[in-house]
Amino acid sequence: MRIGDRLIGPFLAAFGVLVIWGASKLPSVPGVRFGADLLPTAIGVALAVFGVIIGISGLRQRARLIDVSDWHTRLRDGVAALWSLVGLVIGILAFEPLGFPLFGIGFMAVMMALMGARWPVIVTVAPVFVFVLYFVFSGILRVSLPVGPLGGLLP
Amino acid sequence: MSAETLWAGLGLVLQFDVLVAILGGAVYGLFIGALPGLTATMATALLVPLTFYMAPLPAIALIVSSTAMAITAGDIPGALLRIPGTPASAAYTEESYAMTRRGQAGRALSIGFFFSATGGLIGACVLLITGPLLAQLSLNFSSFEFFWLAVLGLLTCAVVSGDNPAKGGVSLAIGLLISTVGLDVTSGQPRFTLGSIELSGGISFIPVMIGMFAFSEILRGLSAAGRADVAILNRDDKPKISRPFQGVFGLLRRYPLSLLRGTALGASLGALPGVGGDLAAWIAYGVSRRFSKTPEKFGTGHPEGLIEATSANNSGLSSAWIPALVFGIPGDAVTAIAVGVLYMKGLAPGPRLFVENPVMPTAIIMSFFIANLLLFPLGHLAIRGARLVLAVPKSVIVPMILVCCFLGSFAINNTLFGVGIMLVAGLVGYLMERNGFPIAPVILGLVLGPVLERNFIMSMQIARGDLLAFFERPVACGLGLFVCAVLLLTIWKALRRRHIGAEITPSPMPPKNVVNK
Repeated sequence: MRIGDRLIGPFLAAFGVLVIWGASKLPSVPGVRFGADLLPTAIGVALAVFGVIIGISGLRQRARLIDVSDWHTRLRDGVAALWSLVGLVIGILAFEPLGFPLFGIGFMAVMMALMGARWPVIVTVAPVFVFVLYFVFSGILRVSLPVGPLGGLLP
Repeated sequence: MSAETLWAGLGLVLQFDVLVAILGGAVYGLFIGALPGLTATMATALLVPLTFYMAPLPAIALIVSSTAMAITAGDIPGALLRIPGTPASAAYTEESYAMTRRGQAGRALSIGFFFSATGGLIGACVLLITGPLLAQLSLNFSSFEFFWLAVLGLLTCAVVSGDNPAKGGVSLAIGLLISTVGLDVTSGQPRFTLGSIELSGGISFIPVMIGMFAFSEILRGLSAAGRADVAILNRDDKPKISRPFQGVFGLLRRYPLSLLRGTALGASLGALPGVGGDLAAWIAYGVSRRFSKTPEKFGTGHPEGLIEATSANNSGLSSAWIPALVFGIPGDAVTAIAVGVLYMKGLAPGPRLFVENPVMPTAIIMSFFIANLLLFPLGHLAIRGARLVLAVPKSVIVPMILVCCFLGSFAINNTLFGVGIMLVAGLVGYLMERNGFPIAPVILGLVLGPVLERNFIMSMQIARGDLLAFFERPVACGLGLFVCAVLLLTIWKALRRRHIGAEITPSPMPPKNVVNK
């Protein structure tokens, strides 16, 4: 997705002003000239200035303001991209009850199917890869990963 | 550097766990680099969660070997399919592909691996010699000099990492802004935490990096822009490859100057903060053509430019660690990640590291030698098995990487907050990359933000708020003037380009940048 500079520029300038405003609300320490607001204020000014520069240079562009031709792709790829987002959000929301193995296998299998992998490959690769990861992170690296309903089946 | 330090460093690097890390990193880097669209920085980003649980030296050795191998393996899809595996290979992809079209695919790959390894070894020598000397020199540096070095690193990265310095500046500002979230480095006040306990601890650079380099690249790969790569990958006319390293010694005898010039260029350019191996390869290829006796042969599968650029590439990769290790100022995204890992391990990079614990930086440099030496046998195997690596379908690789992104972001602090950060960073990274905003300055800004702020505040406390103090010490003055010169030159060039652009034609939508290693 491409966005014209004449839209990005004003957005960045406004964001810069917002950062400066946010920095001005930070409490100052008595007797300290350069405090917690210094760097954020400088960043806000930089964002605002660069936003104006980009916005002005964008005025000469003739392309569309928002171009979504990137996503005029195969339906399957579009759905796969959507699943990569939605699937990971589901993972965040249901990681504890599902556990890593079940979530990992389910997420990977759907993604592989959407990207055109064959079923024998999916049912082999997804569980093997997820269990290898699980044992490496949980067993060797001692990361505490939720096991979920498969807890009884795993050592 | 004393012989005892060298031996002690060698002893450390020859330990079993370090050697396993180097070998594992090399095989992993080879695989990732050979797949078009998967970059060396992405490979490094995905490794960081693993390094969290490793001892410092194997962790850094893992990053060193995977990066060196990924950058070199990027030549494989470049030579065989005309798709550079990494932007560092983009400078000479046309040349190596022209060689493949003439039925010399094996020769193109052999040149890539052989001269990359040679360039990398020479770059490691430069690092070994100059590192301790520079560290000794910079022991007298105070917060004033370190402030300017941080500014220089940030500035050059923003300037050289894209076509548009304003967009590079925005990327940098975004990285710096992310670094300000959490508790203020001096007063301990919460900044931009929005009342969130997780944000009070700051935003870890690891999920940001995984999102921006790995997740965003997957989104791009699934879009129409990535489909073009897949279409080329599915072609049936893949070339045949035979006899690795055949004739490379003959080329070495014929073009010794190209090798020396390429490595010298790579070593000197790579050492500049923000430049790295990508730019070194482009410049080396241009210089080779300029001084060649047969410039008309360039672009037709001529080995001369290929030798020079590919040597510069890996030599620059090694010397990019000079500012990172000696000053603690990373020059590019990969060294920014490595500096982050060093901090995470309690090994603050900088001149003191060379003085207080000289064996550790020596061992890190030694790991460069081993990683580059490994390029010869692994390169041999890679050239023979190049087609097999390229045959792994994206429908298998992409889901694997996504699960690794999730797990890596979770494992940093064992919280799902990191996964959320990774997702947001991935979407922002995708939008930035598609609209011409380079991503490497974001990571540099994130890592260097606290360094910049801490040294500025400290300097101001010493000088009681007198800004002219930044120009009072000789080295600080020199660095400050250099920073001002770079800044003015950038503004002048941007204005000049804008003036010329306005005279010729209205500018189109921003081009795709190639800053992600």
